[in-house]
Amino acid sequence: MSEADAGEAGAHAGAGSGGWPTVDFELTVNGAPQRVTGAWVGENLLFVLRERLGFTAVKDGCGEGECGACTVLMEGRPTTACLVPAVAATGLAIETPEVHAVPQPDPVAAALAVHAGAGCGFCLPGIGMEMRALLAHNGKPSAAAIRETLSGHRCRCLPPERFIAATRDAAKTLAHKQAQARAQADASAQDAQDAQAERELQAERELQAEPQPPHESPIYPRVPAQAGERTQPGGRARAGENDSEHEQAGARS
Amino acid sequence: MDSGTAVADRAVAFPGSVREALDAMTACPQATLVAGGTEVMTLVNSGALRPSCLVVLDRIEELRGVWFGDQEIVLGSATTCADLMQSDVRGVLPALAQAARSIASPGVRSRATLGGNLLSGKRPGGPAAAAPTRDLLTVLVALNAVAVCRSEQGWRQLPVAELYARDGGVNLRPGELLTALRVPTCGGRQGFMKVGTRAGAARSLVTFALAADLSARTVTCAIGGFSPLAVRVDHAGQWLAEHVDWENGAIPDPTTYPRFARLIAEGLVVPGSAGPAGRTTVAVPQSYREQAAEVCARRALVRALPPAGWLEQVAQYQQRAEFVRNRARVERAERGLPPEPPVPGQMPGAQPPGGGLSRGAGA
Ligand SMILES: Cc1cc2nc3c(=O)[nH]c(=O)nc-3n(C[C@H](O)[C@H](O)[C@H](O)COP(=O)(O)OP(=O)(O)OC[C@H]3O[C@@H](n4cnc5c(N)ncnc54)[C@H](O)[C@@H]3O)c2cc1C
Ligand code: FES
Ligand code: FES
Repeated sequence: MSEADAGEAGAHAGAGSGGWPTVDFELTVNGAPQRVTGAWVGENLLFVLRERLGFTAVKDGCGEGECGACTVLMEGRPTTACLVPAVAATGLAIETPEVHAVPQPDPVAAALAVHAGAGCGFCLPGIGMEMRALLAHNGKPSAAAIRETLSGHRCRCLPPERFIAATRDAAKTLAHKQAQARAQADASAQDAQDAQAERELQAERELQAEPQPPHESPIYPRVPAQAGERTQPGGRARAGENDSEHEQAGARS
Repeated sequence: MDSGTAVADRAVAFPGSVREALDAMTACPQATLVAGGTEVMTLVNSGALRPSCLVVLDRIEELRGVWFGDQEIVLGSATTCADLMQSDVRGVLPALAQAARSIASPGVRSRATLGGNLLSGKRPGGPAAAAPTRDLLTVLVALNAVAVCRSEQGWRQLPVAELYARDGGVNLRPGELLTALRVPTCGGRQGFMKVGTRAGAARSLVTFALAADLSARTVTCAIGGFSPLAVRVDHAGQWLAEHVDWENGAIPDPTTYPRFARLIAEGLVVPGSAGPAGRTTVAVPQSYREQAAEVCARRALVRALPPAGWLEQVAQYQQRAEFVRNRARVERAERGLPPEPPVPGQMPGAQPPGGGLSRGAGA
């Protein structure tokens, strides 16, 4: 973001009809630039996101900052979009619930679906954003921390315990995923090492050894034909994967 | 609001400095100043305000952040409540951090600013406005903060309580910008308590803040939240100072706590001390409010001055403050943030700086 860019936004301002001055500006929503033209200066970010840009996962509950349904992340911080003049969001990174839940629900959205599925769902996108912001800096939040964080979100349908459980669940899934990713990274590093060692070994072998005589696959050793087994015409000649699958299938049947 | 003809050629300005902000305000005198916008947008969304021109203050680095000096701590007016909850502020101005944390929800705190909290509400001669809650004001009044305003005419500094008229309206002159609040450093024994309409994010019924100055051996306390104003309760502070064992850092008599709390609650109805000035913010029976005030006062006192052992805590506080001071200075330099706070040379009524903040001649 730079002041110059922000200043640009104002430079395109014009007077709309009847004292409703309008502005053109650009927002960065979910990483992509979005051009807004002819918006009244007093329009809030919630309205612009929903009605002008079509990010309808952001909900309009109260327009006073009380209900939290319109929560988005601005520069990673939860923000009630209804209280931000849209033009003042120029140059700031905005994240809406869409980016996390569509097409694949992330752990937070999944946990909400499990624990808060019985509600009407109106408050959930906002609560999800708040949970993501919380979990980003606190991997194992206490019940008190969750309650405090979510205290600005009004849910008419469900008791707070659901959301504490959902947050805990999401935290667990996230931790698990992170551990998995770490293990995978470690494993692939190990694999790469192994592969390298294998290649070196192979190169050495190739240098030293005579061409190897053809041998049976060590993975699918030939099983002696059993009584009553169907033999595939020519099957034995083609020692390979398909063949052995047929064998196994045959053995099972 | 004026019609389209009065609209300046720019409907939005994003000043990058105090100077540019003043220029923008001169260019468009009817401009609405927006810091975080949480109060402005509440009015706009409900149709009570129709801005024709916005001056957005949230990108002025000079106005954001906290400057930790030896003599004073300077709070930029566009510092958000979320920033006021950060560990440095929590260490040095614990009561202010607690007050910031008690305001609204994280989604509002990430935008709501200190300046906006103090300046929301009615302007003299302006349209009627909802009675605002100003929880940070209670702490700042207890800490003897000085508000610093800047206009084309120059600087104006005044005790923060004098920013307001009797009815709670804001006495900011047209074309004036609140740049900062200067808080004199004190020993760090501070307490804040709030009782709101519910346990979670809520508007306050009563807020109470208390600060003990260990070198002067005085206690200042303020009560607010029941009206747009916060008022000092000096008689209770003086009474308390006489019941503190300053030598050993203790309150020997355990009945001091409830007696102090009683004094505060009674002060709620004593005219000229803390009596309700202006409109109340949340309507509850007076008896309930008194009880809430009593509870607030007692708990804040326990937080600030526990029965014993605070000399050690004061020593720890001083170490922490020293650490924060040095680190903040280095961090500012590293991150290329303005090294000087947006205030003129001297704090009114302060001693000449003995190694305090070194300041230039002002912007
Ligand atoms: C849901 C909700 C709950 C809340 N709960 C609480 C609560 O519990 N306790 C409490 O104390 N408050 C509460 N508030 C009020 C909140 O603290 C204020 O809305 C907020 O601090 C205003 O800050 P802002 O930066 O958004 O102000 P803005 O809306 O940007 O501005 C407010 C006013 O101050 C003026 N202004 C701002 N900065 C300056 C400046 N530097 N110089 C001159 N004028 C300036 C603006 O022109 C405007 O008139 C709540 C608000 C909401 C929406
Ligand atoms: S719509 Fe923004 S908080 Fe209710
Ligand atoms: S699920 Fe209906 S409001 Fe929360």
